[in-house]
Amino acid sequence: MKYDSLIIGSGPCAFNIAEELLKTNMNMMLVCKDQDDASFKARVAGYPDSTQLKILQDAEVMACSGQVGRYNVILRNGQKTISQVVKTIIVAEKDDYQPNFASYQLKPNQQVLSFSAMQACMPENGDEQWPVNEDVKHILFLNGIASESVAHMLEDMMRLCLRLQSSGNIQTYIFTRNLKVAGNGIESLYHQTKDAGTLFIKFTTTSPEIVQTQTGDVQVSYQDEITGQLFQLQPDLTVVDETIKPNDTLTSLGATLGLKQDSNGFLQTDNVHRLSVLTNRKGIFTMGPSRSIMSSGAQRLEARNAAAAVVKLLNEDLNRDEDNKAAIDTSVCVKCLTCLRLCPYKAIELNPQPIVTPEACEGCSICVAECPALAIQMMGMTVADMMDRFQSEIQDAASESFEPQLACFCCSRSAARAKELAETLSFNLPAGLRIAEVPCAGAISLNHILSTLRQNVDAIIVLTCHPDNCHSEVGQQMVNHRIARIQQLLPQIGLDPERLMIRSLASNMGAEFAHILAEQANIIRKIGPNPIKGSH
Amino acid sequence: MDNSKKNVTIIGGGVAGLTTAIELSQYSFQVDVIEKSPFLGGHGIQYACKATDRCVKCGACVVEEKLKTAAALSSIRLHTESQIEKITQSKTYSVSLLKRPAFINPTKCTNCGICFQRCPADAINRGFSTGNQPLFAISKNKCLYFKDGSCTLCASKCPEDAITLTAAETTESFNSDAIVLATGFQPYNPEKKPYGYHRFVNVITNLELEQMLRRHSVAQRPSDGQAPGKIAFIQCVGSRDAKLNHLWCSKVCCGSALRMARLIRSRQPEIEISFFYIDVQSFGKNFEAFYREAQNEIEMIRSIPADIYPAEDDSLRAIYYDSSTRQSHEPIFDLVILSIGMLPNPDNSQHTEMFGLKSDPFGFWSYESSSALTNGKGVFTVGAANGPMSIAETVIQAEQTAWQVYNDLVIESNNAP
Ligand SMILES: Cc1cc2nc3c(=O)[nH]c(=O)nc-3n(C[C@H](O)[C@H](O)[C@H](O)COP(=O)(O)OP(=O)(O)OC[C@H]3O[C@@H](n4cnc5c(N)ncnc54)[C@H](O)[C@@H]3O)c2cc1C
Repeated sequence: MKYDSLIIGSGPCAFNIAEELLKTNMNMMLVCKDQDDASFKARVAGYPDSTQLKILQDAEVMACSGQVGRYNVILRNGQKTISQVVKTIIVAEKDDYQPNFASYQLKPNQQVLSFSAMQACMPENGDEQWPVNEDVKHILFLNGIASESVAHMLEDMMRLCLRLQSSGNIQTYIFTRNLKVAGNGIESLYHQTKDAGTLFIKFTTTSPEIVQTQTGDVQVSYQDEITGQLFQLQPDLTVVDETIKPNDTLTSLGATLGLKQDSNGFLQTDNVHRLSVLTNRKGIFTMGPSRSIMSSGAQRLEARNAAAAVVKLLNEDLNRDEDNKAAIDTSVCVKCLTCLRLCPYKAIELNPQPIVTPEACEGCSICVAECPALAIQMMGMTVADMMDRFQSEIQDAASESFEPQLACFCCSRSAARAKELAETLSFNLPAGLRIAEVPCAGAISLNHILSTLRQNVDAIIVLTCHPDNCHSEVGQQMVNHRIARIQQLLPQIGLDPERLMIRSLASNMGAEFAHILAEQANIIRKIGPNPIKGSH
Repeated sequence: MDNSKKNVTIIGGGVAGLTTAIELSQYSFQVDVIEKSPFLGGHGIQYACKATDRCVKCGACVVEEKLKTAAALSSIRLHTESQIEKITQSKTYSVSLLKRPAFINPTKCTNCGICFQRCPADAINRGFSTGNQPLFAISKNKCLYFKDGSCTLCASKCPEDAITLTAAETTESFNSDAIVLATGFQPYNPEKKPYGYHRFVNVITNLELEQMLRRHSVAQRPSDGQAPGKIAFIQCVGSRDAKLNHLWCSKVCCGSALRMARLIRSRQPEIEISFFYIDVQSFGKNFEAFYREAQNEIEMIRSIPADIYPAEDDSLRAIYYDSSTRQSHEPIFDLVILSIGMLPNPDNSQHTEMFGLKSDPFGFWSYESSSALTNGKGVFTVGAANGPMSIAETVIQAEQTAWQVYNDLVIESNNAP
């Protein structure tokens, strides 16, 4: 049996997405690492095994091969190993709250709790188990003193403070730097909490001095930054905020699934092209705390994004754009596996020769540009195709005014759109401008550049997406390296390195497109025609 | 999936409405987007890319991409300069539209801009994107033809004969299975604040700075077009303001202002920037790193100026209390940027009544309460109309909304006994 989706995770997110997909007629396998954790047990109890939903407990993904529509996953389930084919995969792990005790030089004890522990003592349903006896009069909450906090943690803290203040004999304090109120309803909650008596102390240039005595008591001295007055506080209970980290299984899971991580370790790079639950691989989605820090409310709603992504993908004709996919000529391929290594979308498989899976290929043409054996083709990407786009009348050498012929490579997602915008807004573009639109700047090969220099052109301009905005993530970096290498070589063949320029642009930068070209045209006007032009 | 006989009407053509439309068309719905202004893309289409040496994820290019995608889809009909005249509900909704006269024929106009350049009354507005077609629109309030019939210069100069000043209003009606409200926000008008907005020419809003950076790439003083030496950003103008009973944070302004400040510094490094704030709000995945770098480039002042006075040569004197020295200061700036808050759209109250929606005490709807009460009603709310949110959050919510529409109109009816 081939499942429509494999869901990975043991937390609320995994069950939310399963719930959402249960509304459709899809079938799923849910792979949970947990088995005897109490909250997990309670969650599983709500889902009897059915043909639509199979839950594996004490299970994890060991290996994954194949492509969208037919991922072949090897799972450990208890002592057993299972192989399972699935069409799509959703990573829906829970997050990991790590108390910041160490950053405040505090050790947890009866008077020093993490915020999660404090919340667990005071469940929403009302029957509070007071964390300590009724002598507790002063409760200090540390929020975002050591490192920046997040809005949903402040929100939850203020809700707790409101309940504590309403008991009548407890004074709560929130110590913070930047009060994070950027969430719906949080600013008005802040006013409500302040009116209920919680004291908010904000620090900018100073920090509270926090000392834990031998007996474990906490003593705080601080300066009120507005009045300059010094204060001492001995809270009966100190509640410490937490840093939200990605689940520690994500690193190995990412490696197994071929997903890129962001700098914090979440399984989604910080790139606007990945909104909302997309990854670098077609058919693998990442949601909630597997992709970013997120409030529990946002996590719950994200099940809709993930369900939508699966339904849309399974209804999509993945071969629709078949002309714009790379293809490897096996008779020329030397199996160096450069393509396999470089494909940012992991769309190349070994079978046993490397082949491109058209359904997963995004048509960036990076493999075409990098293949040392020139064994990979994509429509419109040969050197000859590219040179056709730069064809222009050879200028009369005797002509008085020299108008530079500029060959401009534009990424179709950014610079080519910026050029259209510049035209729409009636910016003047140099008369000698010729454009070659490429699917990704990473498609521009050494060969393309060197051949262009021998055409009837005076300068080459390569326009990429901004770093971190490149759909393929790496194409923009790769072409920068190639250009830097050629720029070093140019003086050796008697060319000014200024004849080759690389810049980054976004689709909405019409004005900047016009400025860059005008500037380059001026430079070339000064240094004159390309001495090797037309030498092919 | 064949939902092509089902129609969804979306009111508002900002990034919320456009993204919802694109998503719905992926479930094969037919979609009508009703936009009251001449230009699609809402506020976001006016914003500048704020990348410095790399993308800073401001999301402005996302709006551009959504507009381009929506305009290319045959299942989406985009109506600009259009408003709902009436919506009645029997089994489905019947929607009547009132379309303002199409003075400029979109199929004839080639965006040459001659009308824009020649208009003596500054009555022709220009759009922002290739997706704004036509790129120009005539403002009836300013146009001399509509004042006293004295001028028809644009019509006579148009080389394509695309301008008809006598064009009439039209109406259109159709049936719809669901309504999505994506009416966005209204920017706070800071004229009543003691900052001299509209009195001192070098006091502008962050929205105006976005437009300036989009058009000219650099910061300029409106008074003389020169580069300012010192710029002040004043945050929370009209948000987090108990006196106005605006007890909400507009969420995006710290990110937008700090990104613009850093963009200006990267292009015009000689400009000094001061940033007046209450609390810096987090944005983006790498906020800590961004904030650290920003603090090196920008003077961060945790205080909100009480007053702004004119100083020599159209510059401005800002008065603030510095709590670290417990003294008042009066630095001079060449340009002051007011980070104005996002207010509920005043049109909301009419829709709240029409569809029996719930709104918060300030007039924003809530995504969760509106989508929860929709069952059987087929009315959804999305985007900044539900409260301040960024472009990225709006896109995420639009995907959720489209999924809810699909769920209500298709999955639920399939599952019904
Ligand atoms: C100064 C400023 C800077 C910002 N910078 C950023 C940034 O850098 N990054 C970021 O992520 N976010 C930013 N934002 C937030 C961003 O503007 C919003 O996220 C986004 O505009 C929300 O999109 P929307 O479609 O919901 O609303 P809008 O953009 O407001 O669009 C609503 C649309 O509906 C139309 N409409 C309204 N009422 C009706 C009606 N009755 N009938 C028909 N049509 C109607 C309007 O004309 C408009 O086109 C900024 C906001 C401000 C104020």
